[in-house]
Amino acid sequence: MSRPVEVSEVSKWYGQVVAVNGMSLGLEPGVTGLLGPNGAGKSTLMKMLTGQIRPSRGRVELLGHVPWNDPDLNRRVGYCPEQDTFYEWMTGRRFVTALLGLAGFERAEARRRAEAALAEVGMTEVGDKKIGGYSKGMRQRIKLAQAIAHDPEVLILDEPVSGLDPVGRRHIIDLVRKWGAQGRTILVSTHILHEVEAMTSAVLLIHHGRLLAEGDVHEIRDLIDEHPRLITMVTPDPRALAARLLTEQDVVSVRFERGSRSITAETVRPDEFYRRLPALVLQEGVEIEEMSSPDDNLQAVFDYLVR
Amino acid sequence: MPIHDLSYRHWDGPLRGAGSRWRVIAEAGIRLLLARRRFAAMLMLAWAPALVQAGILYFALTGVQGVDLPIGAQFFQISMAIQFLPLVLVMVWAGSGLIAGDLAAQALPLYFAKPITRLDYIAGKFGVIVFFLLLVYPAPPLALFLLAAGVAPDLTFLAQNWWVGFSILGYGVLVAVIGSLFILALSSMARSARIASVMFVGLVIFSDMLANLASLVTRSDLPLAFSAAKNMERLADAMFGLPSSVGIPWGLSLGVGVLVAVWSAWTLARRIRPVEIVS
Repeated sequence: MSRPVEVSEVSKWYGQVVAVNGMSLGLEPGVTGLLGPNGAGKSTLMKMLTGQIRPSRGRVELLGHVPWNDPDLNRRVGYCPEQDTFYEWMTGRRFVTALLGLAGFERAEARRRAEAALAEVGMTEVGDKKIGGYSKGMRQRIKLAQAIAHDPEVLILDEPVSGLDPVGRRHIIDLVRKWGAQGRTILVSTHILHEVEAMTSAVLLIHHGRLLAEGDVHEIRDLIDEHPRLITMVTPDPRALAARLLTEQDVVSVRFERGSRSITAETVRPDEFYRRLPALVLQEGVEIEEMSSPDDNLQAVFDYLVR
Repeated sequence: MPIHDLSYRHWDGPLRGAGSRWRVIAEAGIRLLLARRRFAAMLMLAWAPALVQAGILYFALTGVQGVDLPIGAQFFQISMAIQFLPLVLVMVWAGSGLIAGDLAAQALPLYFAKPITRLDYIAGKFGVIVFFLLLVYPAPPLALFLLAAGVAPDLTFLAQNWWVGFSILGYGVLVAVIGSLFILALSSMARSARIASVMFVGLVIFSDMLANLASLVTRSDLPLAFSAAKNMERLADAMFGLPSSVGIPWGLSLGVGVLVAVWSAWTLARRIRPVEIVS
């Protein structure tokens, strides 16, 4: 059986600007994070998936159908756009109900579903307030309510947690995880990596319209073995340790952290570096009190891959 | 212990068919405008002249109170001319913000993420404005015509003027359709109803001024074809079978109207896209 979302050799260009460049990927049911900096092509890819723009080349398939020019497919797809300027004069409840009407539901069913969706995102009590009076978090949640209200199989969420406070972020992350666990296929874009780490380990990294890496965070982690890695160490004598480390060929830089006893070394052969450390401590008497790698954060993985 | 299936289950209840998608947009737009008290009051006021005319018509046809006024094509054409002001008001009030509001709210990606097409969207918006234009432009004279047919003492009125009803309907629908497309096109070119309104009023007034000036300078009636008001007048005269003071062929006026409609449709097709491409 084919995957719910298949993208084959897809390119999209606007005049001479290439937004997406020969991208191929597939999504399984569950949550997949789409990572990339601003302008990487995330929104363009999402708009091609929802049939809002047509690929210049290649083929996009959603649930076995080509989404372009197939509005009926949108009955099975929920889309949460990035922008949050809506009809400011409209109440949240009416906004969700009106969009359910567009999805084809009769008025009574639309009202019932709008209530359920508002309850799902925790907006029941403020549903009758005008959107103009909503906070950023409420706006994000009302967008999610309209995306989920018609019970779609596939959810395309463009930056759903951007600008939210920690509580709001936690709430939405929990919702996305829950929807993913229900068997929906969810693509969540963000350029803040720790957000997606909290939702899923399945990630796609894109940059300059190209797919840079895909898979589990750990698989991506393996890909960077050939790239320099940062290792931070706390020591009573940072200068002595720095001088010692710089005698090794694999260490390409050492940075002192202002006002602390830690240094950050950059190595191009991390395995060799880690193997050598015990000998440094035991045989040469170098003192290392703490050691950590900022690379544990996905941000570092991304930085390496796009370098 | 029963174990429930929590996986995705698609809705298999009734859904509206593809043919009625535009209606959802039209109904929502109409309901929304009717909920505005000032707009609703304006719609009611638009019928006030027709009420006065109804009184005149009644007395003229029944011969009471000594009112002696011929009730024929000219009476109904004047009735339509009176409705010109409400027509313009509705176009500005209801039409100018129909698409501009959606553009300002960046709502098009949301619309087109639902199972509707661009044609559904345009048809829905068109449905809103054409409904109100028909309500204030041909509907009052048409109601007057039906009243006249009802209160006339015999069938003479209908026998002599049966075609006037069709003239009212034909001319009213023509103006409403072209006017709706035009104001929607202007609305799609702006992100604010105010700008679209200024563009509309400016174009109507400016075209009339320019056409009159050009007509004076060239000492020819042909430049009057650039005036929206003059073209409407010429077409009305032709459809009501009356002599016209506008010296241009009615076919030319109709051609200008068709051209405006085609330009409007082209503009709408070009501007209404789910994604705004910034070059």
